[in-house]
Amino acid sequence: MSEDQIVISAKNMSLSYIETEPIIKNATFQVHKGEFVFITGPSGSGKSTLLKSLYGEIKPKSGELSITNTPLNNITESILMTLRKHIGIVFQDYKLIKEWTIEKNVMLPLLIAGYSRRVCEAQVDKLLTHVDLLHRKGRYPIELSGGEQQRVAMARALAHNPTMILADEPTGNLDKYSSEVIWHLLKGANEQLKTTIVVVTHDIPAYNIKHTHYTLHNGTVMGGDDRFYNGRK
Amino acid sequence: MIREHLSLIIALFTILFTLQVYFIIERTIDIYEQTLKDNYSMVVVASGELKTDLIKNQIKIVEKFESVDPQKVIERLKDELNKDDLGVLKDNLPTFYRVFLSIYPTPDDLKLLKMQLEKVEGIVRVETYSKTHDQIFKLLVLFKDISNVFLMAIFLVSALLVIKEMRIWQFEHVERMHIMALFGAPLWMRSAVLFKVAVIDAFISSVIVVVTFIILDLNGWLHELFSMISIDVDIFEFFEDTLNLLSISIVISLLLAIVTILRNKDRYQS
Repeated sequence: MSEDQIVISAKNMSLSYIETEPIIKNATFQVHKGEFVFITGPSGSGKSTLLKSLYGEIKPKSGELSITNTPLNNITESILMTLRKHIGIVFQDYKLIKEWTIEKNVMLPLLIAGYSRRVCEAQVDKLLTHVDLLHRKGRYPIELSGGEQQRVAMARALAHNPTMILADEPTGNLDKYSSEVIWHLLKGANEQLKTTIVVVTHDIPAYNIKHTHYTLHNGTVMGGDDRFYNGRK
Repeated sequence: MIREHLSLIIALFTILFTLQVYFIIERTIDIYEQTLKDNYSMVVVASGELKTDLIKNQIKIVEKFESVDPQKVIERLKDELNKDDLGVLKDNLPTFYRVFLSIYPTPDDLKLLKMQLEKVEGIVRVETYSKTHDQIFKLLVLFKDISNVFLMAIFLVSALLVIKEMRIWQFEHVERMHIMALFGAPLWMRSAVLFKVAVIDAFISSVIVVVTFIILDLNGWLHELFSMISIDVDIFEFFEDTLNLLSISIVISLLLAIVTILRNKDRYQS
C-alpha cells in the first residue's frame, strides 16, 4: 500500500504522562485509509492514552508517530490545529460546549473550516436529521439525555467530512437505540466515505462492521494483522 | 447563557461601584479642600504700604493681598474713644492686609510662610490663626487617609475578585477552548470567544454602574446629604466617569481573557 494511503503510522512509540514506566511501550502499527480499527483492552491498559496520542494531546516520549504523514513528535500548535481540522473526535463524556446550542455545537468544525453560515446551517440540518435530533437543534446540551448528547457529538464528528474519526468508548454510557445510531453512522462513514475509523472500546459491538482489531495488554499493542467481520475471522 | 456572563458582571459591578464611590469621596475632599483654601486667609500688619506684587513674585503660594480698610476698625471704636483719640489712632494705625493663598497650606507651609513674610521689610506682625488651621488641617488629613485606606481596600477586594474570576474562567472557558482546539480551532478563534465575552461583560457592567449612579444623581438623596455639610459635589460626571469606568472595566476583563488564553496556550506548546 502506498505512503499516501497510510493514515496512522507508529514506530517503536512509547507514551507516558510522567517520567516513569511508559503506559504504551514500543508500539508499532499502521492504519490505512478507509480502515475501521477497534482497540480493546482492560481498564487502565492505555487505550485512551493511545487514542489521545492520535490527536496530538499527548506526544510520544520516544519512537515516531505520524498522522497523514505529519510527524506528531515535535509538532507546532499551528500544524497540530491544521491536522485536527481533518479529524473528528467522539468522547465517552461527549465534550459538547454547554453554553452553545446543539446546532452551534454541530457547526463547530464547519465554522473552524471557514464555511459560510448558510452552508453550515444546511449541513447541520442534514446531520441532525441523520441522528434524529433536528427538532432539538435550538436546545442546549444539558437539556438532552446522554444518548442524545452522544448523537450530537457524533454529528459534530462527521460534520466536516473528516479523513479520520477517533472515538473513545463512544457507546459506553448509551442506551441500545443510541448505540445503534452511533455504530450505524460510523459504519456508514467508513463504507460510503472511506473515512478511517479508530474506536477504543471495552468490547467490540455485535454489529456487522469489517474491522481490524488491536488489543492492549500491559502497554503492548498486539494484533492488527487479521481482518475480522462481526467478531469472527 | 446568562450564567456565562453573570459571574464576571457581578465582579466587575462590585469593583466599578466601589471605584465610583471612591471618585465621589475624592471629589468631596477636593471640594472641601478648595472651600478651606478659599475661606482661609492670614492677616499681615505692616508699618506702611507694601509692594504686594514683589512679595507675590517671591512667595509663590501667596495668591493675593487684600488691604483692610482702617475705617472699619475706627468705626468699631467710635463709641469708646473721643474724637481726639480717634484722630491719634487714625494717624498711628498700621496697614492691615488679608493674605489669600493658592493652596490650603500644611502647618509646615504655614510656619515657612510666616517666617518668609516676617523677613519682608515693613511687615511687623503676621497672624496665621495656626491653632484653628491645625485642627481643620488634621480633619482634612483624616479624610484623605480614610480615602486612601478605602482605595487600598478597593484594590484588595478587586484583586481578590479578579483572582476568583480567573479561577472561574479557567474552569468555564478553558473547557470550551479545549473542545474548540480538539477540532483544530486556531488560537485567535478560541480567544475571540473569550474577548467577546470580556468586552460584552465589561460594557454591561459599566452600563449598570453608570445607570445606578445617574439614578442616584437624579434622586437628590445624596445631594441632600452633601448639602448638610455645605458641599455641592457631582455624584456622576457623565463623560469623565463613564469613560473611566468603561476603561477600567475593559482593562480588567481583557487582563482576565489574556491570562486565561496564555494558560490555555501552554497546553499546545511542544
